[in-house]
Amino acid sequence: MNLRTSIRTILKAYVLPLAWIFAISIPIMGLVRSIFAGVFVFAGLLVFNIFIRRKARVQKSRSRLTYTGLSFAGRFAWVFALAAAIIAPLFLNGYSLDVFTSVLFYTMLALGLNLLVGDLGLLNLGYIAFYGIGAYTYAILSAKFGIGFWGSLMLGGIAASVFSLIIAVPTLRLKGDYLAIATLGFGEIVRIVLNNWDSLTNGPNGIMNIPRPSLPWIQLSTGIGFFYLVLCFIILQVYLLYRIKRSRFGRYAVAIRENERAAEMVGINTYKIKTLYFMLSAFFGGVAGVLFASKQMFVSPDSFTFIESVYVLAMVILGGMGNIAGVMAGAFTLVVLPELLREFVLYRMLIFSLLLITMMLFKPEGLLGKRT
Amino acid sequence: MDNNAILSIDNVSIMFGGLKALDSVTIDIKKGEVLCIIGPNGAGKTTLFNCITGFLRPSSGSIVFDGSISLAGMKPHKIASYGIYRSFQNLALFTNISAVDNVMIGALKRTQFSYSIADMFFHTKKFLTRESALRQEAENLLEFMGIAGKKDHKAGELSYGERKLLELARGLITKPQLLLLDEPAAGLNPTEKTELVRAIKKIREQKINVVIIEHDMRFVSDIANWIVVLDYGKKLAEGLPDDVKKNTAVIEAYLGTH
Amino acid sequence: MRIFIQQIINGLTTGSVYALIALGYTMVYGIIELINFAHGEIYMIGAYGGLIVLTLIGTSHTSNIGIVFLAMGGGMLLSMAYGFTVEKFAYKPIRNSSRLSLLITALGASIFLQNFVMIGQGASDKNYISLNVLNATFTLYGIAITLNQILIFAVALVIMLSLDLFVNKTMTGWAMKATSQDPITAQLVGINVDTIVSLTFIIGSGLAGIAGVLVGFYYGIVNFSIGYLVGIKAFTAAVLGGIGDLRGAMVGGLLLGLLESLGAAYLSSDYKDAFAFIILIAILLIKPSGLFGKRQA
Ligand SMILES: Nc1ncnc2c1ncn2[C@@H]1O[C@H](COP(=O)(O)OP(=O)(O)OP(=O)(O)O)[C@@H](O)[C@H]1O
Ligand SMILES: [Mg+2]
Repeated sequence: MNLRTSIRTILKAYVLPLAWIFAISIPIMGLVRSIFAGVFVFAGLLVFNIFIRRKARVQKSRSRLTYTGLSFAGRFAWVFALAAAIIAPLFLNGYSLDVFTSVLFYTMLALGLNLLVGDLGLLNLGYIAFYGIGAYTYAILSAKFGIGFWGSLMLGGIAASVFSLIIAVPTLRLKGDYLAIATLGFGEIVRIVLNNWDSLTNGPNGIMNIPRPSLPWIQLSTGIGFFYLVLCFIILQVYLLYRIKRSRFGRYAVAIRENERAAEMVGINTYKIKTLYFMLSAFFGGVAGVLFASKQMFVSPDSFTFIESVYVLAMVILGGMGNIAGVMAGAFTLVVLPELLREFVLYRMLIFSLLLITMMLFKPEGLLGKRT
Repeated sequence: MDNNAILSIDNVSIMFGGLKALDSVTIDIKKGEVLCIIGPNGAGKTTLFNCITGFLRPSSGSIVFDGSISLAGMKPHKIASYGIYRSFQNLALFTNISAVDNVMIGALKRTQFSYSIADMFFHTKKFLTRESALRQEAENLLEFMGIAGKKDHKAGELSYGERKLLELARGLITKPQLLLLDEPAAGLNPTEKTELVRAIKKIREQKINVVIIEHDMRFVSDIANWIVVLDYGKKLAEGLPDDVKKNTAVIEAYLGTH
Repeated sequence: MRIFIQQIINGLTTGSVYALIALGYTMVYGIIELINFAHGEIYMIGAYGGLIVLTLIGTSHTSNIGIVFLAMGGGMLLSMAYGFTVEKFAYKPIRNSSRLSLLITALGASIFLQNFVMIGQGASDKNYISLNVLNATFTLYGIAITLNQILIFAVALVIMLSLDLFVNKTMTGWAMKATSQDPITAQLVGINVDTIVSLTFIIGSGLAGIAGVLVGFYYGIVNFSIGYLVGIKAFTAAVLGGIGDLRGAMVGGLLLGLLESLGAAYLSSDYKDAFAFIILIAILLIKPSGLFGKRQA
């Protein structure tokens, strides 16, 4: 390559994009921040050209669906994580404990959503609605009918499943993108209804004085007790999810995700399986909602906005679609990281969105992703 | 209707806009025979398969399986559950998972009640033995198709010919009564072709009915008992391989379009 | 009756805005089959573009209608620049990935732009300069219509007619149509698909930018978050008219504006925002190819 062409290449690959981003940023960002934007893009392009251009797409040859049991290292990791989750709360202050409890809520949600996005490859952009339905089910049942936490727990999940059926039955026949949009619409409708049906939901003010759960011999109303309660639910959930994944249902799902026509050709009722998964996914969301309401002792529509759905989706994507441990790690990261970076609170969502975009560019299957 | 027929296609027509892709096609597929459907590009061969397997709904006519089961209007998975399996002209595999798992998925429906939900949640001994038996069965089939060496490779990493053989293996594990193969030999190298012919002959011995769409006349005369020629959506001729080869209308249809 | 006609006028006004934005959704979807989530934000950026021009001009010419067009030009250019950039930097590198990845990228781009503007321009509402000329009101039999509403309607009409002419009567327009019908063949006959895609984004974004400025004048305030809801509604309009269909998007926009404003007046104003979503889901279920569509989506 001679000098002229190399200069031209550098101009085209780096200088032009940098200058362009700088220029269009000025009206919105002002001069100083635009310089940062330009530099940022420059750095991004460097990384892009180093990693993406040269990346030969090496595929892992071995990928089995068959149950083989966990490796020793895998077992160790699980035991370690569990032990950490059990011991850590004993040393945390109230604030940190709240953060970690919220990790647990998001973990439940992300694992629930993963059933759709990761296992079936279906996008649900209104997932948080099921969380909301669960939460409000408990709030309303306890306020109007005096039904307690344990009674509401299942009902919250079931309510979410029933609502999911309303949206799933008609929309699951739609093409992927349309399904995403329809679920987005559904999520918004739920939120608007919660916001406006004053007689039932008390509108934007929400419902207060939701009771904490209680058990005769264990203290659950404290932060720590509650944390362990949710932890138990997660252990149960993870166990169920793994068993489903290793069962024929898990394979049906993989088949549908990989090739729907072929799945039908081997006799799988794809529509039925998708509906089942949709309901199960909503069920987990609903149960998580009941837990959430009882932790907050208060619910309002503000907790169930579209961006929350995107947040949960990002956890699924970040950790590796379809990979249970990865999704849990994703939830952990996306809850804890913003807490650590509190000085950057203004830039939080900006970083978050860049993360989404770059993930899709570099590693669409997630950081820990192996898709099966 | 012939009682000896595994599949009776009676006067089936389908329109795409103004195009009559199938025009009153009537074919009886007799039990135990290997039937080949030939015809120039766009003749409607794949469309016929799509009608049989429920991916398309014929605008008129009837398709009856095994003397009494009317297939027209049924969903593909339902049709598949009667033991009808088809391969696709442009392949339909689960690309990102291993070859052996591809085959195993084919058996899920057939074996769905071999363990209960409880077995599945607690991974009982029954569950685990069924699992490994299934896996063994899948591996045997890969062996039968001559691609056992690739069992742990992702389907997407296999060569085109290997993928075709894999799709056939996945079909065999469903224990089909009727096997519909859409151009199985296209894109295969000579060794793979021999392997395929050998496999199909063996499949026939197992009393599985086979219908094959194929262009390659050498391949066709090697395995077909009966040939149906389609052209512009119409049945142009049918008969024994040697008779069809001599049929002038057929020769014209081929020379005219190719 | 008076209320009814008044609502029709209001509905047509917002409907024109929806139509302008819906065109961008429909054009992009037609060409790369992407639901461009960031399009609502492009509209919002257009509104800010207009605001920036107005701030530069200052408050000394508030009776000059020319200012309106300057602001529209500013909004349009800024939106075009951003629309073009989003396509080049975010969508183009992964155009051949799975649809899931594309959709998620679009979602990311949308959140990015919102926060980008929030950081640059602040989170609070900003005011558009109120122009005396635009507030001139004509009253007939008790029905009021402002010059601003007339302007919105007229601008939208002119733009839509020109776009229709452009797409149907020019070579470039034909190339766009060809690309959306069959990108591979289009490439074979020598159409530069990349250029066409860029052009589509630029045009669609420009229209959204103009809509943003028009709305800025109409409501008087802008905020970094205005793009989301309007974006979804415009998308609904596009689906209503049959996604991919330009004329459908125009009609769909007007129709949605009407339905919404009549629904708010006669059914429930609390649920005004829910109408669009209900219509969206209903149309996806009943006729995903849109009201006028023939093709099964
Ligand atoms: N879903 C469809 N919609 C519209 N037209 C179709 C559809 N499927 C097939 N056709 C048309 O029907 C005709 C028959 O197509 P078909 O695929 O059955 O041909 P074929 O005999 O399998 O040809 P080939 O040898 O190329 O595989 C063709 O003209 C094709 O374009
Ligand atoms: Mg064919």
